[in-house]
Amino acid sequence: MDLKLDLEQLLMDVEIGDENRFVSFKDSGGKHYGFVSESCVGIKEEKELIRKRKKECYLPMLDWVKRVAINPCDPEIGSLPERSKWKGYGNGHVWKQVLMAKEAMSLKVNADSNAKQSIWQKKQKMHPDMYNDQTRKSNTRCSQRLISIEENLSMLLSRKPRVLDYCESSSPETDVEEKDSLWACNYRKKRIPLGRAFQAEVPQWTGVAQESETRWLGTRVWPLESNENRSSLIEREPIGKGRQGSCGCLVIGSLECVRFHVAAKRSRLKLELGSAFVKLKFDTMGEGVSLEWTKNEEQMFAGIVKSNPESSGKSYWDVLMTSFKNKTRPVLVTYYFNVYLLQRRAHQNRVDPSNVDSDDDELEKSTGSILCSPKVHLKVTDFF
Amino acid sequence: MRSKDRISYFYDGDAGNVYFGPNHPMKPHRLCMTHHLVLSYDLHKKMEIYRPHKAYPVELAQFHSADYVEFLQRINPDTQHLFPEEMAKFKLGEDCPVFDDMFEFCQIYAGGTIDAARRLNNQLCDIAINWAGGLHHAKKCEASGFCYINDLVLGILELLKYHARVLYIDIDVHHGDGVEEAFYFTDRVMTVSFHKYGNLFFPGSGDVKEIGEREGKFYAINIPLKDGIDDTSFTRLFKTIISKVVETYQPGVIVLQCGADSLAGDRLGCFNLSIDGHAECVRFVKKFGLPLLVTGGGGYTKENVARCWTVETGVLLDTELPNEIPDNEYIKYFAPECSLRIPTGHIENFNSKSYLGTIKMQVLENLRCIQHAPSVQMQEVPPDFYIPDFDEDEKNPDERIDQHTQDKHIQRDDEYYEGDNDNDHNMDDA
Repeated sequence: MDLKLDLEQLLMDVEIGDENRFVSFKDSGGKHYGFVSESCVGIKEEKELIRKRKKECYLPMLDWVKRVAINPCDPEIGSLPERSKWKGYGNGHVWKQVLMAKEAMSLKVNADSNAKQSIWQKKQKMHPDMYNDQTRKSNTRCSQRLISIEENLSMLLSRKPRVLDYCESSSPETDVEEKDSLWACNYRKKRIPLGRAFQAEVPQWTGVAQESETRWLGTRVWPLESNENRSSLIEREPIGKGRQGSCGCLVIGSLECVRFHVAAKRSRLKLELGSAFVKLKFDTMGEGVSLEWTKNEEQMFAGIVKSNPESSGKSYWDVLMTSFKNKTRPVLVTYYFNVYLLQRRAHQNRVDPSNVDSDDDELEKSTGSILCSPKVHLKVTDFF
Repeated sequence: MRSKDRISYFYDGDAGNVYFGPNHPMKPHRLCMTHHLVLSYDLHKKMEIYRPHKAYPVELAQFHSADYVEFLQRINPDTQHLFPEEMAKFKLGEDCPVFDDMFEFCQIYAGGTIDAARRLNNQLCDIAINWAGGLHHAKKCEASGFCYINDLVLGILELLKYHARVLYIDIDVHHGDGVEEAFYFTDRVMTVSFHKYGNLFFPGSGDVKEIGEREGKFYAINIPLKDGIDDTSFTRLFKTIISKVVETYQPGVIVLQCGADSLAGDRLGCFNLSIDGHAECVRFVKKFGLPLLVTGGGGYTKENVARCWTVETGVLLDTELPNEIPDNEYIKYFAPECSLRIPTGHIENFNSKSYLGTIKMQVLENLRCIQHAPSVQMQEVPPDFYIPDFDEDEKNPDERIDQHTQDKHIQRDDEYYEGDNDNDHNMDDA
């Protein structure tokens, strides 16, 4: 019934005319209620009527949805054609109107950024700024691209003939891009700039390979040089061995169990890698990083992060930098990712394992470009 | 297939400790996580690990303009406010913020790809991996989409010293515009990009009609896709197109950008690929047996990035990895399941069969315009690499077969009394 309430809201947004005129429309229904009524026969007539009585058409739509919600198998509702044929139907059909309204509403819903989504799609939100023209800046990629979703929405609601024409056209010459979308999003395509300031200089192939640089090929870190002695023999394990199902710990999966196994693995890796352990910076990975920090410092760190949430507008990094004068930024960053975040994830794992996210205190940027790419996820639940 | 591929893996521990800033989705820490996961599966035992040299400014200027490189080198967070014009000119400051050690970070990831290319050129390895690289949006004179220096272009320029033709494949969810633009005029590099296109998705280029210009006409291939593409559709399309490309273009070396934002559940992406689907593409490219340079790219859900690139390292090493992630420092990031694979989402695939069919046909049509491999005479002896054959049963009977495939059919067209090939129409006239 959420759909019904949303539709009502949608209709209230659109000006509705005299209610008395609706009565006759409602009553005219019989078997073909809402589908083909005496006033909606033929495509040309449909267009005419839709333009004239565009607002009146919304009430039957609402009623149809109500009926579907109560009983999807209601024979009075009629049945929908195959999904692949939807495009070929005009907007005179109530079910088609409902589909279009649903799409429009999905955009609206996404903009609210409160949409409940699955764990794997948690952050796929469309920022409300996407709908505003003023946020487009000249130096972002977005500004070169066109019609905002807002314009599309208003187009949809005002039912311009252009949208109808699209739905009815099945010409194979239509742009490949437009073929599958419910409404046409015509926009100027980006042109590739050409010139010396853009292309790389590629020499002609002479048929003979040039001398390739032999000096800078990288420094080998692993396997170790043969002169490095590794005194201890390490038990060989098969490559690609995964985690074992069970261990001999008293409480499997407890904090102590995890800590023990991780530490054991770390020791093994250290023995095995020799000098490579430090060269690959494994000594700065994991919670071992906190060994360089005092308890007070750790508490201060956590306190600063918690008391400067993103919503306050202040960046906790600025506060961290000023509070920890003896620690450089890389040290703070290393601690953040290797200790602080890990501990928070550990907490999430225990408290709410179905709702884990290592980045949930950081929001996407609001301004344009790669981050403003809208991800319009039209979550399709069974319609019938 | 070659008996044993030698793999060189490039990694520098400093790359992972760099921080783009608060609110920024690009987190180089994902490189630490990847590296750690790779080693916890003991994959280092099957490959060589190299620390790349930090690319010199003069090397970066092999592609980028000198003033851009010079500005990147000297700018830092404390002085950026003094240069508003240059900041705007080089598109720094928003997507591409100026952060501490930014230039060093560029030197590391670019150095990795350049060193990888050199090792391949000198035939010191068969496959080279640099997960820190793959920043495909950077342009000659400006930064873009979190990319400052285009390591791929630099690597390809290095490979061009040794190979007549280089094939570039990009499976990041975003169009590989920086690489395509750099080589838009030339036939010595063929760029093939599979990406989301439409609905204002970044960067806005990558239409199927972008095919290159002048000598480079038909040497740029774009496969624009819609939201929600799944493993089956994607891998089928990928294999069809890449087989044809390799067969037609006959590259000497392949560069593969494995952006992980095409995975399901990515913060910025919108596809529905599983890790196995993504890795299937890597596996397919490896099968050609050509020298291969593999890089990272996008990927904004760092746990999934680490998972994906670990699985793909395994694929390149011909090692199947068990799903249970072994104990390691970052195990908590992967809890509670601690599994290597991720589920795909229940999102709708907006790529209909007919849409994909149309795209495929257009691409194959364009490929037919490349009659012979450029820059070299056609050889009589068939090339010494394996092109996997196409299983006809896998083909969708609903898709129209293109001319070339039809040509390859052994059966006569009128042999079967079905549909258009029906030849008993004549009987009606009698």
